[in-house]
Amino acid sequence: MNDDRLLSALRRIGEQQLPVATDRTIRGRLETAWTMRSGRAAMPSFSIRRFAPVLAAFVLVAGLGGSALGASADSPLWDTRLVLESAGAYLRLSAGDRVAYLLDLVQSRTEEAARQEVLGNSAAAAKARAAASSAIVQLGGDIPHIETTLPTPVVSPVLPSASPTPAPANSPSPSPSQSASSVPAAQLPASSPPTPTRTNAPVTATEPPHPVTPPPVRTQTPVPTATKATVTITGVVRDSAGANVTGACITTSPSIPTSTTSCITTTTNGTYAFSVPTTPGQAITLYAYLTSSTGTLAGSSSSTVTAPYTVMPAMTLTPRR
Amino acid sequence: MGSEAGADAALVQAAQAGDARAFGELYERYRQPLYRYCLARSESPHEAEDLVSDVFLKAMESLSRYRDQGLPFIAFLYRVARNAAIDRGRKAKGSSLFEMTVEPRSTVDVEGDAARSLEMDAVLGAMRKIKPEYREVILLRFVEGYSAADVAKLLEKGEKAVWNLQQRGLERLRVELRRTGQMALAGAAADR
Repeated sequence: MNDDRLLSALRRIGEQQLPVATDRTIRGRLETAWTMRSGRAAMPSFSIRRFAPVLAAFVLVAGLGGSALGASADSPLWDTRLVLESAGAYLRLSAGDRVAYLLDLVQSRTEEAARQEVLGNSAAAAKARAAASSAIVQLGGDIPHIETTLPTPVVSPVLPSASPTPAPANSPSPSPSQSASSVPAAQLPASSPPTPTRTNAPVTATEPPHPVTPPPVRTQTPVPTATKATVTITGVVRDSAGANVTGACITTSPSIPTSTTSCITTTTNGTYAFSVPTTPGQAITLYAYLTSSTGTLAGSSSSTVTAPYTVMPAMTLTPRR
Repeated sequence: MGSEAGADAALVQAAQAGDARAFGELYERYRQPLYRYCLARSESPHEAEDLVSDVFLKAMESLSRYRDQGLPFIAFLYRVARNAAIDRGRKAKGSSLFEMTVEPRSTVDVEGDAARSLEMDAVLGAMRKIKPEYREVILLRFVEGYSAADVAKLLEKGEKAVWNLQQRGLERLRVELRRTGQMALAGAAADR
């Protein structure tokens, strides 16, 4: 083999790539190992006598790791699941992967909350909601987060009136356990004053300041509230090939925006997020537009606003005539 | 290479402080060159993949002991890979690395990847048989494309030593290719 051929064969070795499936497996192993390592690092220094229980705990964690990832919110393994899932986010290598992973977490935890709600496990549902909220908080570090006081982008006409319209599906019951989450400005029950009487009875200016009033007695006839909350709305925009889209304009308007000022925000790595004061239970439709020299791509998705966050269904952009 | 080493140092520092993303970034940067390095040391692509996994796990474990010496992190990974490959070799064969690498092998794994050319397989097979120090220099110079000066830094050797290893390594590679009958691919007359 002459030198040229030898060197070119050597260069071809340089084109060899770690197979994708193996790459994924290795990442998984590293994530698990990192989690274990972090757990170890967080432990206080231990003596020989303490070694056995520590080891046993790790073996237990390792053994239960797999099943913990499928644990439901009413399971004792729920907290383990949260730790493993959260650690997983930190090993997502690109911002896009991380955001997608966190969105998945938000989605699955939200679904878990809904499932627990249906089963009547309100405590477990609250735990799942709190977990979803912390995933949102983690998301906040990666995605464009716009605190806006725009007029609500809510387009639903079903604003709760005084009429007995159906109660919002996910109306945030004032479950106190939700305060465990650290979602900024999203903890409605915790942060709202304990006087949520939403009757329109005008408060008289002359009303003397009450001593601390006991919590309001709940009436047996709940009236849908129109209380506004700051809701973080987030979602993903992809092109028709399934790739994440950057720079798509997100708006509530069904017509193509004429300038970027009409956009509430734009996507980064396929993801958008913004906060808006709005009323849970309302329907919302968002539109995404991406204009290029070849034309405009557009997509939309609709959902019902839930507080403190709303994960919109993914939008797929298609050519707009 | 200086800026690469600087960036690596920052990532390592962050990883040592517990930043998983920093370690993830190091993995992202070096998984491919490390895979090729392992490929040239392993019996099969499958073994190389296992080795890559082992190396990163070992690197993670020894992260707290890692001291920056102004070299890219890959130098550390190569060192870990070298030791891990030796360990595996001992376990697998109970023989020394020298025996493992110099003894001719009867087969070269060619079935794993149909896309790999025969010539590349032949060279990979020959690479596995030459001495580790030759292999490393050839790998870093011609597969990864480092300059001789950079290779000298990575391997903590003098530039002249690298040059000598490179010449001898190429020579050994040709000998191995001839010896294993792979020269039929290229024509022995072309050898010098």
